Formats: sequence, structure tokens, C-alpha cells
Amino acid sequence: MRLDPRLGLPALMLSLCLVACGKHGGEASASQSANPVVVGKPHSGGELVFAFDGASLTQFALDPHKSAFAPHARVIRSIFDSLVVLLPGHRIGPWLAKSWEISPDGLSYTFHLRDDVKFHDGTRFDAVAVKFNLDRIKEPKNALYALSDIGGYQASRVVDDFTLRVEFAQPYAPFLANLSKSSLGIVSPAAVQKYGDQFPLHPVGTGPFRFTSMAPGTEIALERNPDYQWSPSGAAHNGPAWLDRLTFKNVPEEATRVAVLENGQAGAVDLIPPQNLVQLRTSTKFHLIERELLNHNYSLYLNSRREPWSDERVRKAFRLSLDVDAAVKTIYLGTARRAWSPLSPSLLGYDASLEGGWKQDRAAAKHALDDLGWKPGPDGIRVKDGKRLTVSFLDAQGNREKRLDLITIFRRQLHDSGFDLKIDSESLGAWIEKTQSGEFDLVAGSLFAPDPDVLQRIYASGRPTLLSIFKGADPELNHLLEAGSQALTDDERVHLYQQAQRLIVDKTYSIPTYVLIYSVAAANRVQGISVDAHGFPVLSDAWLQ
Amino acid sequence: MKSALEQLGGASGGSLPDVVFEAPRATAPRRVSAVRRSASSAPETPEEPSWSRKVLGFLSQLRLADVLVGISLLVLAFVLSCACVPSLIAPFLPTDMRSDAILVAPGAAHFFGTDQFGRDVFTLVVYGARQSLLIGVFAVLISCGVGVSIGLTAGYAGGWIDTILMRFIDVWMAIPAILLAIALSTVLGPSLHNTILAVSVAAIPRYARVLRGQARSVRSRPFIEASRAAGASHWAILRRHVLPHCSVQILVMATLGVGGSILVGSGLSFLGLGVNDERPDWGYLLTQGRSYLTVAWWTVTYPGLAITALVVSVNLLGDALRRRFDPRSAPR
Repeated sequence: MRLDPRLGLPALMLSLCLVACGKHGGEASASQSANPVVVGKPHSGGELVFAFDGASLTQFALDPHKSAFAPHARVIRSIFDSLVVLLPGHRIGPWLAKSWEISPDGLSYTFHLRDDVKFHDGTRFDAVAVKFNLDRIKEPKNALYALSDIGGYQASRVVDDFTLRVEFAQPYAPFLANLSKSSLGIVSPAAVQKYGDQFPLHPVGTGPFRFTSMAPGTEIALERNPDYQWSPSGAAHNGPAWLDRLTFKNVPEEATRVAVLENGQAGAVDLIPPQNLVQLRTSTKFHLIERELLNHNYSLYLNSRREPWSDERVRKAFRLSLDVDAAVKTIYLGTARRAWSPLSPSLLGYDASLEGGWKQDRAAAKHALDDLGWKPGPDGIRVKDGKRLTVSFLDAQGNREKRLDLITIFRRQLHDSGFDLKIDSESLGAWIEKTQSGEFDLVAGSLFAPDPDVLQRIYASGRPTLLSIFKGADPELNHLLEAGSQALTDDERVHLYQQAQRLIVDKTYSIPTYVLIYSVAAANRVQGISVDAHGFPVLSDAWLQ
Repeated sequence: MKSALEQLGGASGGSLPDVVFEAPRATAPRRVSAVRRSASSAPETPEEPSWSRKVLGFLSQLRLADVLVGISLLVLAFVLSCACVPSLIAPFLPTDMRSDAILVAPGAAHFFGTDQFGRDVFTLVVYGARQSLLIGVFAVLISCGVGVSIGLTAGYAGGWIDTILMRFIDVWMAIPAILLAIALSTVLGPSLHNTILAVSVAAIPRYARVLRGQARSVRSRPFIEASRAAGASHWAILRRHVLPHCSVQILVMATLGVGGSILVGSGLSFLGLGVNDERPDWGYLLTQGRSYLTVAWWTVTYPGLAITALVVSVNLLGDALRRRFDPRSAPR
């Protein structure tokens, strides 16, 4: 299948996100570590260098609506604000919108916006600007990733300068949670018109930092927005950021990130490799902030449109061959928790009853394969009608986040049951094409999202998107996911999504592996960094001693 | 080097090239060892020396170079046996991943410790020997074969064939060997065959250059003219006269080339262009262990030492061969 060229960049960003958004490590639940930290009084001034894992990309795309790549979203969060903020415990708090009402049928949202907000370019933030943002995303020819965040959005009506009514064709329960995502950050309409296609290189928002310059692929320089008085609810302080300047440096090599922190070239770094986490947790010179990323866990998907994976019994035998506990413990050195559900534990509707639901049973796997006619060949790999039981794993990201190491261990475990796992390393373009056309046996990926509606993006078969790497079609699952996105109460939604999770695990549509913990390590002279409820770093409260 | 060989070749009558190579070995080293022997035996008492004295006497006669060659041969023999029968040497299997023994420091149970998968590093190094040797030996065989053919053809034929071939080789040489190897294996994709191919293609021009010079000097000798006058074909002359006259250069360059090829091969592996196999080669072990260097030095140190030991050994042997066969570097 050929991709629409206009879909190129979003598709690229998207799949990067699928295969790469975030990292492992840290304790099982959301937590801030309690290293000995010298605390003083916050004051403004100074420059912070934040080294982040941005992969070996040659360009940054800082358009919130366009980029689904988590490392870029981490930078975007400091430049752009959202209408609402996600607070711990699935609560939504005011940000650029002071308050809002939802109609009883769930079809219309009325937002009352702040009247004191200015974009970095000096233009006014108002209802017209928000309407521009939503309409921009809705326009299919813009091919923006954020399109999948607005569900059945139909139109916005400007009631007055600072009141906006947003209307939907069908109820879309995840809307508020999605509004809190950086992907629905509010961009300056004037800047979008001025820069056009070049907007991702000249981002203009309302955030605590404004963009000054970038060196493609290596560095992004921001400075304080002195007018900032609209911090989200729950922020440590209201008002301009403490830091004069904030520089994001892309350091994709994990050992190097730890090194630049240790030698003082960076004040803070993110995504600490597990082998260094333990050491940093007990360090007196550095402190560590760790929080679970709200996420569809990194999962393995067998292509259920292809023989023999269309047979649930083969998929089950595949899963029974895996010892996920041992693999996750080995690779992440006990710093990451093993995942049982496609959803990460802090997401709304997480089904804890799935925990401990199955375990490795090699004898059962072998028995099942024997019964299905897959007999061990001379080299231990099973054969049926002259065809070897080969699993080709389609990969584009290499060993980012030690994910290929994880697959290496799975390969060994699968080999013992007679599967021959082969790693098919492809370029990103080829990866996208092959996942779209279904030319693979196995793929794996994760996808960050603040709402269980993420399941619909991956597993719903009715409206295939670039995110639909699940290739099966299950009407019952489709129904549950659609009902989940339209149900009006949280209780109802939780109930539906728990059923959906159980169905996915029960039918082995995907095999969740581990729970991602986002981590930031900072030198003790850098204070006040936190990680928001989504699992993204907040740097407006950071200050230097 | 050329002129010395020419003189020797001329002196021995030309038609018997074997003598050329025997001559330096027969004369030069013997003279030196004779001098040494007399020097070391001077202070000895006339009575029957004790066993320990015999050993000491023997050791005192050894030159540093001989000792190094001995050690190199031992290393090479060990690596060779690792490559042939790894299962007899390694205490574990390279595919054994023990989740209860991750990043264990070197000790009694694991000489070289364990890596991030809980695999025994010593076992991995032993099993990795085969790939490194295969790359080293086959890359040299291919590059030497092709390079020698081009060089001999150009040097012997001369004229426009020489010009075309050598300008082609000049362009080829202008591209740094490692860069060429990286580019090739990126295009071909990671596999053992492709690594060997990439390494050898990058090494070809060096052989061609040296062999062409040698072939030119041999071509101008009277015995070549004599053979031609006697009606020998070009092919026969190349095979019977020119090639044997170049065999020393080929042997020395090839030996030294093995070390270089292993290094380039390991470099490719390190860059992720090698084979992600269940039996990783040494370069790949370096890549895998690199990010653990600060917490588990043994995961990269031992594979690194293995590469160093093998390359140094092969190079020392190459040097020894050169000393032996090259009259200009014979001990003075």
C-alpha cells in the first residue's frame, strides 16, 4: 500500500511514537524519589540544560498537533499550554479555560476562557484562536496527528470573545482528557498563518517558555516568557518561569546522558537507563524524579490476519512459551514492573484483576503445537506441511529503550518451544508500509495517552488509521471500544474498558510486556523539576540554587 | 625492498626464485645466534650444568622477538581451538540466559563475569572467536585474491591496461577503507557474508598497489625475456615466474591484513552492522556492553582484550615473517 505523501511526517512521528515513546525504569507506581535534597527558596535566574533522549532524528518538529513523538512532546509542553490540565486521579483542572459546562447529552462543551492570556508573538488568546486550533486539526488535508484526539468533533461556535461552544456529532467522553495532552496544545493562529509549513520550526504558543532558536536534531533554545501569569491549577507556583533560559539537548545515547549529568554539562537528563537508576537513587549529588507514563504498554502484536497466527491456539502457544517476568526482570534489572494489561496501571479503567492471570507453561505450549500438527524438525524448529514455524519480527527502532534486548530474550524462550523468531530490521518508511499492508508476523509498540480510548485507536477495525497495528477484526471488541468512548459516566466507561482489556488478553490479541516509568535525574543545584500526571516533565517550576 | 630482492634474484640466476627466499634465512639469523651463543656460554663453568641452568641458559638465548612469536602462536592456537571446538572450552552455552545471574562480577563461577542477559562472558568470548576469525581469514583471502590479480595484471601488462587499472585503484584508495566498508554493509544489510565482503572490498586496493610495483620490477628481468623468447605464454610466465617472485609480499601483507580485517569487522559489528546472532561476535559484544561500562566493566573489557590479543598476535607473526623474508630488515 502506498501512503499519501502528505501523511509522511505525521506517519513518521506516529510510528516513532508507537515504537519508541518513553522508557522503562523506576518503581512500580508513580512516585517522586526522596533523595537527600538541599531545599532553599525558589528565585529566578540562570540557565538549565536539559539533555533528553530524542533519538537520532535530524530534525525537530515542534508543532503540537503534528508530533506524536514523545521526546518532542516533552519539549512542546514547555512552549504550549492546553485548555485544561490533567490532575492525578483522572481529575481535570482549569488552565487556559477557567471553567466549562457539558450538555447532558454529551454533545456540546462550553468553555469559559481566561481573558488575560497572550501568545508569544503578542497576539491575543481568545475564543476565535481556540476555534482556529480545533478547525485546523479537523481539516483532513492538514493530516495532523491530533485528529485522533478530537473524536467526532463537528464545529465550534464563538459565543463571545472568551466563550466557546464545541459541538460533537456523537458523544466523545475522552475529549477533556485529550484536551490536556500536549497534542492539543494551543498554537498561535497568526504564527500558523505566517509560517505555514515552517511552523514546526517556529513554534509560537502561550507557554512559560518561548522559542528562540534550534540547531536541527541537536539543540532547542528557549527563554522565559515574562508575561506568563496563567499557570495550570496544581502548579507549584503561578507566574513566569524561574529560569532565564532553558536549553534542550538531544543526547540519544543512554550512557552519554548519564555522563553529561555527572560531569555537569547538563543540569538534568531524562530516561535514565536501569543500570544507572539504582546508583542515582542513592546518590547524594543528584536526585531522581520517576513517574509512570500514561500509556498503552509496549506490547507484542501477532498478525492475526496471517496464517498461522489467525488461529487463537497458535497465539496462545506463543504466549505460553514466554516468561515475561524473567525477561523484564533481566533487562530492566528489577526497575520496571511487568505489565499484565494493555493499559498502564494509572490509566482510568485499568483492570487489576488481570494481574497474575497467566504464566509460562512450555509443556502446554508444546502440547498445543503438537496437536495442531506443528512437529519439531531436526533443528528443534517446528514444521508443518514443509513450512517452518518462523516468526518474523518487524522492527525499525533498534535497541532503543532496550526493547530489542527484550526481544532477544523472548527469541531464546520461543526457540525452546520450537518457534524461530527472526528480526527484520527495516527503515521507518518500510516499517510503516509493512505494518499498513500487514506484511509481518510480529510487531511491537507503545502509545502514550491519558485515556483508555487509546485502545480504540489500536484495536478498532472499523476505521483503520496509521495507529491500527492490530490486524484482527473482532466485532465484540469494536462494540465495547465504541461504547466506551461514548458512555457518559466514568463508572460505565470503566466497566466497558475492563471488559475490553479482558477480551484482548483472553484472545491474545496482544501481549503486554512492561510498564514504562519516565525518569528525570537532576543535579542537586537544580530544584523544582516535576513530572505531570501524563508523565511529561514540567520545567516552569525549576530553579537553580 | 625491491632493489634488494632484484639483486638477490639476479645473483641466483633468476630461474630459481626459491633460492632467493632461502638465502636470507640461511645466513643472517644463523650468524647472529652464533654470536649470542658464544657470548652466553663464556661465563659458564666447564662442569655439567644443572637442569635449572640448562633452562636458564636456554631462556637467555631467546630473543624478545622469539618469545613474542611464541606467545602469539599460543594465542592463535587457543583462538583457533575456540573457533573450532568452542563447546569443549566454554563452561556454558552462549544461549544460556540466567535471570538470577545478571551482571555478576568476575569470580570463581564466571571467570569473566556475566552480561546484562545473564550470559557467561567467557563463554561468549570463546564462541565469538569463530566469527572474528572467519571474517579475518576470508576477508583476506578475497581481497588478496582480487587485489593480487589486478596488481599482477596491471604490472605485467603495463601500458594502457596498467594506466586504466591503476587509476581505478587510485580512486578506490581515495575512499577511506572503513568508510567504504560501512557504506557497503549498510547497503548490503547485516550478515556474516556481507561483513566479509565489505571488509574485503575495502582492502583490495592495497594489495593491487604493492603487487603491481613488484610485478613491474620482475617483468623487466632478463629471465622473463628468456622465457618469452622460449615461447612461454603470458599466463605461464605470470604463474611460474612473476607470482612466485611476489609470494613473500603476498604472505606478509596477508598476515598483517588478517589483523586489520578483524578490526574493521569488529568495528562494523560495533556500529550495529554486524550480525545480531545468538552467538555474537566480539564487536557486537562491545556494542551490547557499552552502556554498562560504568557499572559492569567486564562486559566490554574482555571482548575488547580478545580482539586486541588476536590482532596483536597476528601482527607480530606478520612482522616475524617479514623479518625473516625481507633481506632489508634482516638483523644487522
